Amino acid sequence: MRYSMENGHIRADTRSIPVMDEYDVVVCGGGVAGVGAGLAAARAGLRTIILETYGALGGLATLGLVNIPLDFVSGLGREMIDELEKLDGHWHRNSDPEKHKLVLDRMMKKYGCDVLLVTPLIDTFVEGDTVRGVVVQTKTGPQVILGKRFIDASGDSDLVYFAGGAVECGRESDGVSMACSLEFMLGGVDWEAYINSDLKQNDPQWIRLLAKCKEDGDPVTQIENHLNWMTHLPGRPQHCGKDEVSICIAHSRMCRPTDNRDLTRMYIEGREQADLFSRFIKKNIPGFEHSYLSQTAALLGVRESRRIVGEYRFTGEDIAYARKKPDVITISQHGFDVHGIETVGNQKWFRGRLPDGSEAYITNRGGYGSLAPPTDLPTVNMTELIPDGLYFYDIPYRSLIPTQLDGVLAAGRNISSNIFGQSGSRLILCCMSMGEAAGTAAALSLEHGVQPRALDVPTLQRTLIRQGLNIGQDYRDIGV
Amino acid sequence: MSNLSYLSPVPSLAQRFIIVYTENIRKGACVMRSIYRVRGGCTLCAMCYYVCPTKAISLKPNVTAVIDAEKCIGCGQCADNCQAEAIVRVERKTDIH
Repeated sequence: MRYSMENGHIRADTRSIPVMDEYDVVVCGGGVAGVGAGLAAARAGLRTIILETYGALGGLATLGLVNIPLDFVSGLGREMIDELEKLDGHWHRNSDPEKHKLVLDRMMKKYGCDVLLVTPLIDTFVEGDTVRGVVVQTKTGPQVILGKRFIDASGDSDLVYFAGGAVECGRESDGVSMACSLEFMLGGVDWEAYINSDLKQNDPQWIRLLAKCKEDGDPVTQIENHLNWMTHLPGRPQHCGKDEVSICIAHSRMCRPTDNRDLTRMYIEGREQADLFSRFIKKNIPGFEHSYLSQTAALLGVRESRRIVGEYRFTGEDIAYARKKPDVITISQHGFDVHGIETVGNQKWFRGRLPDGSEAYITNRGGYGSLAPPTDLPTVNMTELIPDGLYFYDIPYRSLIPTQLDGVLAAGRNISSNIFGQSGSRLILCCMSMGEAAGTAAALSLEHGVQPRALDVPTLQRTLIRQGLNIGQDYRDIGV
Repeated sequence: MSNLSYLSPVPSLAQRFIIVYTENIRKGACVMRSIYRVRGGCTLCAMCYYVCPTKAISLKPNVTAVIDAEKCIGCGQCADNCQAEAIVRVERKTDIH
């Protein structure tokens, strides 16, 4: 390409970009949400492609070492977990990231969904308000992939952002996102010794241990004040002191995950933190005396970043009140969980309104996390707000639909939501179910010849139920 | 009741188990005592709460999940779904009349 310098910017000359291919459904992002979307669309008989920036499918669930597929198991998620179990790659909600990659590749083949790995999205081709194609980076330069429906499962709303759609990011005051984590794996762990230790029995999140180390001035206590989770990898050596675990404890604060400089900072910081923590764990945690750092994640655990502005903004209050929606397309049970934006700890509460209109700090069902709410307002546990005990909540179809753009649906952690709503709906299987719903909606909207926003939602819900997706039909009458 | 087991990643066997045993318990044909217990290490992720077919599990805020021994039928779905390996099988008493 030829360029010229103009007022501090580089101006590219006009030139044509070759069209690589044309598809019915183009899914941007090969994380679990994108996989769900691609599989659902391909299963409906549409020519579908998934575009993935990195070298494997699964996103954070595989490359990010977040091998903890939580939330409701249903639909394609059920199939994925079943396949993992056949490979000895799943137990008590922990998966093996390598087997997970394999399972996803095989599911793609089974349903006939095309995949392009190592192919980042760089731009979109929009006519009026309708997205017609995406520009991707290939080894021979930019190429265009045309499509009829697009699903933005990029996590960072890349597609909607490049297409000029409205987006928001981070907290409302200054757009800073939730803390990001680089997960890491330790090998050489004596799992039995750990599981039976006093520490695991009495202080499973290492809160008291880290508080004690803080008094001794240990630097790791400046990074985090509790263990977020530790997973035990299935199908690897056991009972011989060679178990492997994946750990979420490293955190970068004040994150701007759509800024490449800041992303680079977080990767480098994450690796330094993994080094510090691996040595801290080896020294202080029973069963880890002979452990070693086996790898850090290839993909940074960005919990939250750019989100679409959609027809409905999913909020923390939807979770606190476990609101049921007429256009439900998936359900989740995860409470809000904002990892400290500025400081260590996690915040499982937010300032919200009670039914009488007064303000209060509404806490998660299980508690407020490791950052206690201030005392200027009353603290209310969300269980008091949900008398029927059905604590799961609905993700509405409208949250997947961007306000201005046509031909596009979002799925995954970038749906239309505020930071507290998003902190609940970001779990792996919830994202996969959202993807399945988005892929099915794309297929139905093509079949009926309408835009996704005009789709008859009861038809979509009936189709999802028929496909085995749990949208709450077992608990209540959805009315379809 | 049975529809809740829909959430489990291993449905068929556990589902059959629950249906048979809850029916037997209802008919008074057998009594099962608590055989699962939260041992330590609970992170309050609440998956057990959702998969428990008899609603035997409650969440003690900021502390742990608790299994009600009277309601537990011993199906084991909570342990299967516990990502922290915090739920263990402790005893089993079955009285078939």
